[in-house]
Amino acid sequence: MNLQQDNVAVQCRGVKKSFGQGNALNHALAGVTLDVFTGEMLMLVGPSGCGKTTLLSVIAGILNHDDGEIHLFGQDILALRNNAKARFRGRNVGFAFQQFNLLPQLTAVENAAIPLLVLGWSRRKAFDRAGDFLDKMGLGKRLTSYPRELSGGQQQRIAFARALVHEPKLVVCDEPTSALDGKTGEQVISLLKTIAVRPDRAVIVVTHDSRIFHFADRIAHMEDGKIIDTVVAGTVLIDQGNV
Amino acid sequence: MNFVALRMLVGDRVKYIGIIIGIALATFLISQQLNIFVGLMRSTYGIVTNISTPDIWVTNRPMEDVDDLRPMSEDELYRVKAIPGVLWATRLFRQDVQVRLSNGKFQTCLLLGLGDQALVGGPPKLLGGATINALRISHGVLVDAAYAQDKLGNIKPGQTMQINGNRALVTGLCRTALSFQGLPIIYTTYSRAANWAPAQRHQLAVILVKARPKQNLTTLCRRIEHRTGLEAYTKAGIASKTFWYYMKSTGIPINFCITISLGALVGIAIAGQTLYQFTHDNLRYLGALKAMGATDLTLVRMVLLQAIVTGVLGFGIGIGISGAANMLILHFTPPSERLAVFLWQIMAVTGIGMIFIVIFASLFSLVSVVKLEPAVVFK
Repeated sequence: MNLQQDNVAVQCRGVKKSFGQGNALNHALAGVTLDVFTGEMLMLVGPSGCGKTTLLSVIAGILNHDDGEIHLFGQDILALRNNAKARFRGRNVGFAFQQFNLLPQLTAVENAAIPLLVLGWSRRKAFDRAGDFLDKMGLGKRLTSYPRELSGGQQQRIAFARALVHEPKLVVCDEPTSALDGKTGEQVISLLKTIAVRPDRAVIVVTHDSRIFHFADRIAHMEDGKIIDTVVAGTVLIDQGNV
Repeated sequence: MNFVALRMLVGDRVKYIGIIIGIALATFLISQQLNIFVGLMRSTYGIVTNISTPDIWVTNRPMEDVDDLRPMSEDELYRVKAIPGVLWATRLFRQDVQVRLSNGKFQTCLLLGLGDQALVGGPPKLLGGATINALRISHGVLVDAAYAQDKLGNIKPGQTMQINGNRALVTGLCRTALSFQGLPIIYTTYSRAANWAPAQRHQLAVILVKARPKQNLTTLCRRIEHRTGLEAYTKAGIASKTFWYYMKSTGIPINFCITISLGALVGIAIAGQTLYQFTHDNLRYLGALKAMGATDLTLVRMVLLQAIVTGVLGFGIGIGISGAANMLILHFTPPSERLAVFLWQIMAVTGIGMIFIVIFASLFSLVSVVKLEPAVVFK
């Protein structure tokens, strides 16, 4: 994998984020510097409360950081106003959540089509496209099933289809295997790796699940709101002064 | 995203139905109370509706409401007739009288006496082929069919009753608007009414005036007042003055206002609480939509669409129930006691009220959606 500067999808420099006040002040991010490149799957790992999900949230533009800079494909996301940021996310970021967050009132294909509907696609086109994606995910026969009728693995595959259906440049996944058994977890992350990782796209996965680490191109270790090291598939690499 | 909003709404059937029931209940309560209120207030000027033809009503001063008139001298009729712009003027007698029925019972009635020559100002609708000339028959009276059945011992044309000891022969039936006092209305000639009713110093209650063609009625009213010192009103004017007298001088409006407000509160409480609960339960999903690029405006539109859809359905069902209730009331209530009305204007007012209730009920949901941090999806 070629980690060139011109392949940078996400650039974080000295990113800080705190919650609470006074004695309850918690520095969730204490100056994170990190680059994520297109064509790679980066896994953010570390103990609970180390700031992984907070970092994922600020990178994805759904949480404002207090200090530092984040550029997403060259765009300073803090400079965008709320609605512009929402539209930017809608075009460029795909989300897969720990609890899937599939709308229980919608069928599989309707759930998968949501990002396209948000972008203003017609229902027919959006459902056709979402149907194709679900087919790729092996759910071609469950298009009209409701989430409650599907297994955890199938629900996660719908969530991945929803994260990818609008061809985002960045896909963020929060603990995608935590609600799944080991075998199913490996299957869905393998599927994600196969379908999501492309030369023009970056994938960031927050996980505790060491069984899926081998799918990563790089692994960034976090502790106490900082990235302590970044490891490239089987080797050890210290990334841009984040020790 | 309207599609997603509607699917979310319909998919949660318990809350969906709960919101609709809340709005339907409020619509029913509000429209039903308004129906009764409007019917009751219309009855306050029932006598104005029941006297057809004339343009202007002239009464002695001061006049607060049309059921409380001070009789005036007969000379006033001739003074009014002489005023430019008056085509003709005629007398109207109005007094409450005791009527003895054939079964021996007594009933207080409103006796209206029409000018003997022209019999102008008769009831708006005569039944069974009767004409106003039925009053020219000796001792002849016209009575309202509904009251004849309910309060006058089911009296029929050809039968008699006694008014203050005088024989009155029913020569025809008519249909009149209900009066606020609920008294049966009996029409006869002026001279007969004046003879039958207990003696008073003056007997002329109202002078009914027909204006010349193209004569401005308001101008003519002012002219009559200026020249005679009496009070003159157009038909709409005297109805309005009576209506506002009851509005300002009785506890009717405030009591109905309280019950209508209670209906609105019930609607806001049930619909608002359920709608808020619905939104609250879906915050996680709304947060996910926000994360996926839905703007605040999109989410606000989704919540408003959900509120409007439930509002329209609830309103339709509530109005339907209200209409059905009115039909039941019409079926089971004696005609002389049917105060409630069912007007499109009431539906419109109720509809506007429901729009406000739905918007108010949505406010809490809208606030929670706008304040929602999309990062909630990762919690």
